[in-house]
Amino acid sequence: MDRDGPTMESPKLSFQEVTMVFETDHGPVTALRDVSLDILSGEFVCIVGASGGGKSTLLHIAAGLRQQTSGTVMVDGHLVRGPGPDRAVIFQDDAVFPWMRVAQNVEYGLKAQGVPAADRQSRVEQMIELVGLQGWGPSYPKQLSGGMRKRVDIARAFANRPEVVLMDEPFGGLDAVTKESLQVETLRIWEREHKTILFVTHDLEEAVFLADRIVMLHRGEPPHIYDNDLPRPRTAELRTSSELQKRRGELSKLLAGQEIESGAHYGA
Amino acid sequence: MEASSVPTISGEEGQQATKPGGTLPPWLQGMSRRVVPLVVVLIIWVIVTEVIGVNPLFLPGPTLMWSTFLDMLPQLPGAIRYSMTMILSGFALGTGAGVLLGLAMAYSWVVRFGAESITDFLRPVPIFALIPLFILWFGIGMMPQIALIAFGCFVIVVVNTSEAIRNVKPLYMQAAYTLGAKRRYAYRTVIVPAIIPEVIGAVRVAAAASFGLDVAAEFLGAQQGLGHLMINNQLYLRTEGILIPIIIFSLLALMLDTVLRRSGDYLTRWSERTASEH
Repeated sequence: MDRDGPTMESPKLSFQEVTMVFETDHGPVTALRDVSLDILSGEFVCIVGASGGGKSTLLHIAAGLRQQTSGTVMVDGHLVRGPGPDRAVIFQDDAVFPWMRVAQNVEYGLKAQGVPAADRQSRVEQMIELVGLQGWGPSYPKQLSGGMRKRVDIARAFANRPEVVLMDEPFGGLDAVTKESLQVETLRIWEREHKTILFVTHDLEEAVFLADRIVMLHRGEPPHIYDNDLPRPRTAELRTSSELQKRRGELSKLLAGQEIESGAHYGA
Repeated sequence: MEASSVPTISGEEGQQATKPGGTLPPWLQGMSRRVVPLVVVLIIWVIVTEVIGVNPLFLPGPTLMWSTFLDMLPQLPGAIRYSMTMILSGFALGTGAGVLLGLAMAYSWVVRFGAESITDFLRPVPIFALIPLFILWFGIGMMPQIALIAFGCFVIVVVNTSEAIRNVKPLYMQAAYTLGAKRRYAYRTVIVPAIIPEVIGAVRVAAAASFGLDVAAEFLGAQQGLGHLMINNQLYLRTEGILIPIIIFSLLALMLDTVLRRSGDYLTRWSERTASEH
């Protein structure tokens, strides 16, 4: 009723009956069908599912980079109409601008929005320190490793003080060690900055390690939601714990079930 | 400076595997890589002309070249000044207009749409076929020649710039927009810097082409210039008088390219691969 009222209960990011149909050479393909999902302020939500299951599509719709066929997406009760600085995106591919120094990259969003230089500088320093890149500010991205560039990307996204951070398989292209340390960093930054995060991954362990809730999407099926009550704070040691592995197993089973269900659907 | 980047042991092994034909022996790396083949050619030239003694009409030897060079010396400064004035003004006009149109194409799809259809039409036109037309339009003298050089440079730069714009990764634009950039800001901070390496490449190609265009233009009725000097010497069957302007043209083109490459390296110092390595 009072959906627009800024109560504690109102979701930060809300999908309402979002449907996405792609026109292909083999006819229309439904990637998302009537997906409704509310993400609360400060929540860390992961989306998992097989490739082609609509995970990234949902995230791109939230980012305003892609137009849904029908349904609405709202941030703080405001309709999403296109990309904007309230929703930062961290992509899987390296999106750090190679022609800008590290500090200029981190500063980019602030500058684009006309934040005064003095404020920008302190924020940039703070963010570079937060991602552990002290001293790299004047370097060009080509001097950095893939993992370090991803840190620049994270700093750039959070520097902007977005309402929501959308992460699209951000660590998919990195080696296991770098990936694990960036997961720990992501949790630390999330806790420090009190942000809402929507994180797409196909790595179930990553999802269990990071998320409060895990959304399972499968090609046009209604999403299943798994409440992940793995205790916080989550440290690197937790990764091998039976508690995490147990949940990972449950999730894996649920996903397999979802796939069979949808298979039956197609058969019918 | 670049020559000092001699690979380390591990680098050398890497090169061996990646470069077709293997890697150069260490004594040939650095500066001697450029000099040694040149010296070999010069020695062959001396042997063929001075020792074996081929007909100087086909290949004059160093003694004859030197004496002819001394004979031509009084004419050279004027000829060089004339040719370089044409080359540099044609190159500057054509490249400047090409880069400006390229940038406008990057900014507005209306300009891009219009300019692409026009350049697609102009690209296959054999540029030297335009000489008679340019003479009709601009009369004789420097004007049609500068116009020819400018036009050639313009087409090269516009075609390559529009190609470069198409090559900008959409991901960079998406990142800019999600960080709150507006169209104009994203244009200035993403498209323009992203296309610079390719635009510089095109400008270097245009610079090299402007020398060729100038020679062709001068062959068709200049009264001064290095090209005119070559035609004159051809009439008197003086091969060495043709070779000397060629060498001067090459040195001038090399100088211009070096200047462009150095400034290009500065502008693309962020790039993974800087042009001067090769």
